[in-house]
Amino acid sequence: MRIIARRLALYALTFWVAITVNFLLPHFMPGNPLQTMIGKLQTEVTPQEIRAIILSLGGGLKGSLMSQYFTYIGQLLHGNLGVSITQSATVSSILISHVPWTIGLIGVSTVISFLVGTISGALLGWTRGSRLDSLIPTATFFQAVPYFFLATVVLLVFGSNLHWFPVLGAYSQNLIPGWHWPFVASLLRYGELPILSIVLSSVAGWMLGMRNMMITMVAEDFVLMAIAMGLPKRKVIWAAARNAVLPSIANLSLAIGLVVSGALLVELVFNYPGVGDLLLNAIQSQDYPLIQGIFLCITLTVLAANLLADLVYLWLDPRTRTEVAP
Amino acid sequence: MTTDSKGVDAVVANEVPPLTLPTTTYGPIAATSHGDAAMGERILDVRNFSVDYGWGENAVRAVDDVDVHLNRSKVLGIAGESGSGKSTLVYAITRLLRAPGVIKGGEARFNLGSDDEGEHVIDLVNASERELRSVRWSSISIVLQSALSALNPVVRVGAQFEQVLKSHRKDMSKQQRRARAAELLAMVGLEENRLDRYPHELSGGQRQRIMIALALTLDPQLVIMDEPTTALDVVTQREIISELFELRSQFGFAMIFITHDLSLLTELADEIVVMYAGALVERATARDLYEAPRHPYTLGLLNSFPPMHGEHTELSGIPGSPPDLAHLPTGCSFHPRCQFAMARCANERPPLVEIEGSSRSVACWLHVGDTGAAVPVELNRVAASNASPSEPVTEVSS
Repeated sequence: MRIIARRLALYALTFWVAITVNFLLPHFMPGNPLQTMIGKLQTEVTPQEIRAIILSLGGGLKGSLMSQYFTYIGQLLHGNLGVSITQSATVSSILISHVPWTIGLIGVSTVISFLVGTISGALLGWTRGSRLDSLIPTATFFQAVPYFFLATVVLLVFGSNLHWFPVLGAYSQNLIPGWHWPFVASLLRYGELPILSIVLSSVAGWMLGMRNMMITMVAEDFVLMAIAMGLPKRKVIWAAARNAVLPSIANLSLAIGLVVSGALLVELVFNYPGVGDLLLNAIQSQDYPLIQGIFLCITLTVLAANLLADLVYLWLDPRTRTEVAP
Repeated sequence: MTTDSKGVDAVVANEVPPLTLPTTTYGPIAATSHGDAAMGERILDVRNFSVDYGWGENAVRAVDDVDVHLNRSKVLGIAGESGSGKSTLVYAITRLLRAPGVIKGGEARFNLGSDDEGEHVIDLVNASERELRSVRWSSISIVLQSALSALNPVVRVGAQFEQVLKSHRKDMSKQQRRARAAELLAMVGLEENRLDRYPHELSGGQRQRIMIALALTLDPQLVIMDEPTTALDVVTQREIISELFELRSQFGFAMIFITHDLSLLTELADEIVVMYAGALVERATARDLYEAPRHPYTLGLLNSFPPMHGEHTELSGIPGSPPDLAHLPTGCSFHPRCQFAMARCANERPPLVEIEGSSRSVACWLHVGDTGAAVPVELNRVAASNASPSEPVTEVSS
């Protein structure tokens, strides 16, 4: 328990550093963000709009940097991320309408890719040298092909030509979004092709990593012992896999961290709503409040994913539970 | 102590030798017994056993035409340098050898014990995966050199016992399994609470004790010790060895003890075989081997370790290093390092032959009658085993 508390404290500290940097970044940028934004608007700027921009940047340029900082933190704690310049909506409402799509699509794909890759990697490592090994170059090929190309080909062949999967969008345009079965079914159906393309392009990494660790583990004495003990084969494989999976778990936390930011190409090719597209637009139009909001969101996801992986690691590997003597 | 296996009852009923230097002399190998011959007291009979590493042209012979055998409740010591094939031999016999190790020939018959239907013998070389699994651990268990790597690092000690019992004793309840594990720990002098620990939380000695307790979980007839004490300090080494032999006199399992420490072996083994470059070079009772080595390599090994008891002697060691198995010297593999090498040694390979009038064998031209060469005095000593009663070494724990 003490270890978990210590980790939580560490993550709180990291989070604080991240939001501080997030706050300071616009202040270090050349030029005055306020002027840039007003210039971008290219229309007559009302006092309300100026005030919105000021609030979004930290609540009043008149105060010192320190007081601005505290105002920013205070607004953050109330869930106020400011107002977007390009879209007339609050940043938090924009994020709420985009983030779930990305987390849903890329999150599910990453988990599927991890499971498929790790399980097949474990079996490949166990049966090293068998005919199954030909899976590796196949999977590596799909990872080596640039994603936008692979995704486009998949979309063309299976979507446009063969009509096996629906194309474009996240759900059928004839349905009203909501928690009812036809919509959820349509959501799943439309998700198949993007998920397939992501899994196809990322499964090789998990597979190779797990296979190599598995080969190392199979050579370990405790696996030999499991065989010598006359344990059933699946228990022997499990003994090796349980130890081999640990580095993959660490990698999974990094991969989940990329979920929010790494979605751009998928969303462009499949015309899927999400954060990647949003971030691209925000950067192009220098929508600082939105950029800050998205960065904050990414930071949070990365931290949450790391925390989760840390806890899973603690649970899986007792050796990491040992505390250093004070 | 509950014994639910018939084989173990039979063993316990046998007279188990106390912890003394062996006085038993072995009869010559029953070379006439063929395939289905009754094994009787013999628990393991390995014949013409050869093992290669690799296939085809690149194959390297790691074990070459080796015969070893072991009787119930006896201790067979296998000695040799690193790379002599001693571990390869034992792992191949138990079918634990991994690729690219390949058994190229021979048989390894294991006696599972007798009942009303007669003797149950299994040839481990040709056994199916299922047959092997039924023999493994319940009849043959193994203790590896490094207990740290031999225990699964992410599984509690108790769960490792649990795993074994669950796979082999399906009728045991969870409480019974836990009780059995606690009982086994008590046998090796550890408290029950160690069951809830992970391997990395225990000391090296405790881990090795747990390995020994694990090996005895199912009352096996044969326990293989692959350098079980090499990774430990000398004091712990002695403690564990003496505990091990107390357990053996209590339960009567046979042992194969692999080590490069020949002087340790001479104290614990009944019979010792010495391996060099994959082949047996000498076979003798422990006392004969210790007091009167016949092969120059055995002599070198004995001089490489300080004796456990007695006076301090000069350690001389063996010049040179073990040969590359892929490019063995012609003739006797040992001749480039041998101080007694003769012209013949470089050309002809000496067979393992019984020395006339004794129960021991050696593969060395010096001891073949027709060479005419004088046997050096170091290799011609007379063992005192038959003359004086053996002195007990029960104080090994000191």
